[in-house]
Amino acid sequence: IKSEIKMDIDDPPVIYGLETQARALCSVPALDDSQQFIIGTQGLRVEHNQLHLLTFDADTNSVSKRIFDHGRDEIWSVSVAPHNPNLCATVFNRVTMDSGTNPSVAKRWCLWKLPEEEDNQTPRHRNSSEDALTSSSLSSVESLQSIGSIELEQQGEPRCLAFHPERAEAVLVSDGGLYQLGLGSGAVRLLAHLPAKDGRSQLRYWHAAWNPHHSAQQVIAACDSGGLRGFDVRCPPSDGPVVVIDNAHNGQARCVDYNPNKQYYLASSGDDGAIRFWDTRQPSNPVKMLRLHKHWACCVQFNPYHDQLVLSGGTDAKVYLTNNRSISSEPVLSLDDDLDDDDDDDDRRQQQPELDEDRTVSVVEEHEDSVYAAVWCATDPWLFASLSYDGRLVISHVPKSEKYRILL
Amino acid sequence: AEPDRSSRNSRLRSFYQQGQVESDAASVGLNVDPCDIDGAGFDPEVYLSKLLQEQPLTSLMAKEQQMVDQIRQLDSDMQTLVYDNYSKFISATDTIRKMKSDFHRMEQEMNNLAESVSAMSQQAADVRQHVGGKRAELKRLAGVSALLHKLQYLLDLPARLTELRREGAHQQAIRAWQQADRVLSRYADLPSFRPIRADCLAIMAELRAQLWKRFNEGGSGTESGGEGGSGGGAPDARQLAELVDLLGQLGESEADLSAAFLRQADPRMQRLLGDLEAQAGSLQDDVLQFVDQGCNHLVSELCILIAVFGDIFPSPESRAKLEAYHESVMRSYLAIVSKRFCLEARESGGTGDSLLVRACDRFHRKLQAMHRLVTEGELSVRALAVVCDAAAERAGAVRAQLDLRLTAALSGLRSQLATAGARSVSLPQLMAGLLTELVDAVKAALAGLQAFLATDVSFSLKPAFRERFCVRAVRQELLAGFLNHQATQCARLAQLSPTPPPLLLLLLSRYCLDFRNSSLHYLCTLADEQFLVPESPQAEALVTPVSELSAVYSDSAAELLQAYVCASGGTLAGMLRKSVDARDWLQGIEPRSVRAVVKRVVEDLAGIDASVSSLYDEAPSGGGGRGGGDRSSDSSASRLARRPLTAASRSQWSATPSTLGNSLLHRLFSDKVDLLGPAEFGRASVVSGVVRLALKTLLECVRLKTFGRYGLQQVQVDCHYLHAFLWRYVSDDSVVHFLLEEILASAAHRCIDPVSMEQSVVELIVERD
Repeated sequence: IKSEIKMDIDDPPVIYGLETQARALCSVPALDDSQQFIIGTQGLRVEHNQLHLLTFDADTNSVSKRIFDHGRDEIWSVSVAPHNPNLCATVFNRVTMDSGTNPSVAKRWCLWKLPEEEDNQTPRHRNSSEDALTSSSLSSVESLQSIGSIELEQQGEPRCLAFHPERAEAVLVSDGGLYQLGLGSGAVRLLAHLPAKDGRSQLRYWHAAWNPHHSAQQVIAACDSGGLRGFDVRCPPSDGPVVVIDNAHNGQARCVDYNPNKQYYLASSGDDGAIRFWDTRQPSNPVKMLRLHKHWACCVQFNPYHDQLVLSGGTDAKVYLTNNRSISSEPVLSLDDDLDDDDDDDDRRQQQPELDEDRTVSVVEEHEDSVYAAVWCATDPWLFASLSYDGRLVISHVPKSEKYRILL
Repeated sequence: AEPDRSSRNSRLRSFYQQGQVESDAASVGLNVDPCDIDGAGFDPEVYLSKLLQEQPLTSLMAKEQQMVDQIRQLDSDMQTLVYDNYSKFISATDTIRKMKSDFHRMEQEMNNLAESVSAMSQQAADVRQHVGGKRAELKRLAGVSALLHKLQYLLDLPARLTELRREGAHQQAIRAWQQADRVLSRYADLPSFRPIRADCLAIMAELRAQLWKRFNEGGSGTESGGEGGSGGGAPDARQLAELVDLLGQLGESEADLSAAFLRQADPRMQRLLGDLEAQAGSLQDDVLQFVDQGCNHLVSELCILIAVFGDIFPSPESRAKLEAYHESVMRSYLAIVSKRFCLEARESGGTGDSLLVRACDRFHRKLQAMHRLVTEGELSVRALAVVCDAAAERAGAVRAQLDLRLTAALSGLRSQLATAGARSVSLPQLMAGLLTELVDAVKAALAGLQAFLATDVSFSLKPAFRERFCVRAVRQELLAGFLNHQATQCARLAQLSPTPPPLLLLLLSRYCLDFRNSSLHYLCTLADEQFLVPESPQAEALVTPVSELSAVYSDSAAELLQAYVCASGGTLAGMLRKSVDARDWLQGIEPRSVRAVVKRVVEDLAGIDASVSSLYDEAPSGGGGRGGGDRSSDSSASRLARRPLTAASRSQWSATPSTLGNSLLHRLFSDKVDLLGPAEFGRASVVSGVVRLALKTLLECVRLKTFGRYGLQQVQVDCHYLHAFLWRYVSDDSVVHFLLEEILASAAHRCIDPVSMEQSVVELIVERD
């Protein structure tokens, strides 16, 4: 494992490198409000795949890490429970060799408990440029404690696991549909199965997100047909979806995320490279569309605090941070503007057109391979991380100018 | 009975004592016979004794009987007398009492009378005294009354006025009245004059009413005159003037009169305006006819009105009032004409130009003529504005037609492409057809609008018209607007979802480019020449510069081309994605051939290449590495030509998965390749854009799979095949190399048993296919 820090004069992004490929990235809602991310390695033929729990130190602009062993199973997806930062789930690929000649590969998932940090251990390793080479040897690899996984009917290939934002529940996204799981009292049990059927035709879900509003009773999934399907978990599965957005994307829909501050609004990304914003009450037309990515847009996420900031990453190795003020929960005009004359207001807008217009705030150019995951820090609204396939994690800041513009 | 008789006698005697005494005294001297029973000296004793002595008994007896009868007779007579007397006495006393009271009253009245008489005599004395002092004044009054008969005239005045009024000699009547009125009003306090004055006033009021009536009728007289011909208005005007003069003499204020004058003229004007307005709403009547009607009726009427009014009411206040009225009528009129012209401009077909121009011309001339009459209000400027509006509206209508034409042409093109197969239509031919059609349409539109600039048209040389019509309406809004609309309309297709047929995007992209190169300048210069657009800074400020339009077209072309690349590449990418997803790469047999989908992709790519090369040559800058001649001339024959197996190409690339380290090295030492950069206007760039998109998708799909040994080898074969056939479609081999290498590397990386196939075997398999 090699890590490096790239220092820039102004607002430098921090780069952390893995030796293997990686797709799995998740922000950790740490209890002490430290800025943590967890990434998983994807090494098919590697003896030890690992989960890296990275803690960003804003003062020194550096990263310290804890490493957990994940065995031979390559990690495709990782997620951390919002209500319990020690509970994490991975979706992984397990290769089994039948008598050495006939290999078989199976996608599986498992819930893990991250071990508590031991006090007597040496302090977290600081990854600075000086000890970059030695850090890997110093770091000790901890082991994960498996909480368990259950075998599900018609499971197919699992894709990812979406924890419920409040309750001890989760939804497993897999080929066979959505599986609502109860995680309470130390055991995993199946609560409901929402089959991935659309009338006659079989769908394949790729990603799912909980609706954080109304005590999170709805979950929406992105399909490989390009559509979105939303379900209400209070309804019996036979009722079918409550939200149907067909052809949200030309090609596969890759990611979906609910606006945390504005009800009914969500964003989706897909293989057509577009980010589309939807109002679930009017699913026929998107509220807004961004065409920034030149190839697949793999992930999209609203900032958990300032929902006008939207992060998206794509296979064109770009991460875009956009400000979509016009469709955000931010009021269109501040109170002062309301009091002014219209003419005055227009003048001001003409003078500072960039202030209210939707725009691309910044582009993360540090990646050289496809970016499959980009997430906001769960505890800091001005920090985000993106992971490219070549194992490069870039922790970036929202530009200060933008930050002050939003805050002030 | 005897004593009664004696007592009665005695009472009678006592009653008549005085008389008896007198009679006794008178009869004393007379011969008294004591035996005359009826005489005064009757002595019963004597009589009785005599009787007794002389008469026998029988006679005595008879005598006694006789006497008793007589006594009885006398008794009753006496009684009757007494009653009579008594009643007379009573009545007499009554009468006396009554007389007494009457006399009392009479006395009182007599007293009053006496008093009155004395008062009267007193007053009479007073009057006599007073009258005696004022005798001189009475004499003077008598003199005045003698003058009164000279004023008999006045007394006759009402009659005379009535007479004059009846005869219609208003002028005399008014003069007479005016003379008399001086006197009458001077002596108005005299009661005798009052009725005269009142009568006269009544008559004059009637006269005034009559004059007003005639005045108002005079207005209708103008109307009838107006319908008979414009000459008929003049005498009425004279009459009106006379009437106004008379009414003015009668003390009507000029303000009232002028207001009334306008008021009585107003309904007619409003009626004419109403008629025109009704006509303005429809195209039933000829626009020329409409203008004629407006000019001949309304405008003429207005001119006459203005002339007459000016004659009658020369004061500045009235003039201001007239102007206000004239202004209001003209405003309505201009609005109506403008409405009608605009309607004509909008609704009439291609033939409407000359008619509209003639109508505008006539209208403009007429109002210019009127402008000479009414200098205020800038009539000719406003008339020109109406004409300008109409012309601009016409230009707008032409523009709308062009827009429709464009939409129709685009949808026609779309259906043509949809129905005919991609190969069976000649794209350059379609594009040339579209170009000719639309350029011709624009030229025709411009030519049609030139009618407004004919030399015999009165407004064609006005600078304001030139600026409004030529520069703004035609050059800017029509031409530049349409050109801009065309570009954005085309570009809009690029953003449409679902995407329109890729060929349409390609075609329109080239169309925008060609239009920019060939027609844009030509059309703008043509319009500048035809419409004499001046080369002044003002005009340039109004007109979108050609360079800006050119930029819009370039942008649209680029956007369309990019959309084409995305659409075509997306189709290929979708095919590849589905094929990768569907296959089980882990299990499976050793590859014997190239997968069908890969062949299909190459074939489709050949089709795309053919379409693109029919419209786009090699990179326009001439920077393309290979000469375009051999490729663009005949694409079908060389479609499946393989990469020539030169030593160079072999050494450059081998279908063996390079290690990850190599890939990293490659990245380190090569410039960061913009894999999916925007396509340039050149065949190679477009097609390689499609290729890159397809390969990038293949790469991403491969990364999502896990491969067995033979799966990897299949990818190896496919990549080699692609390498062998894709070289000719791409501008820069290195990008394809890089992507294919990445695919192989990723597949190798995702392979649980990475054993690659011998290069020679791979080549053999590809060779066989």
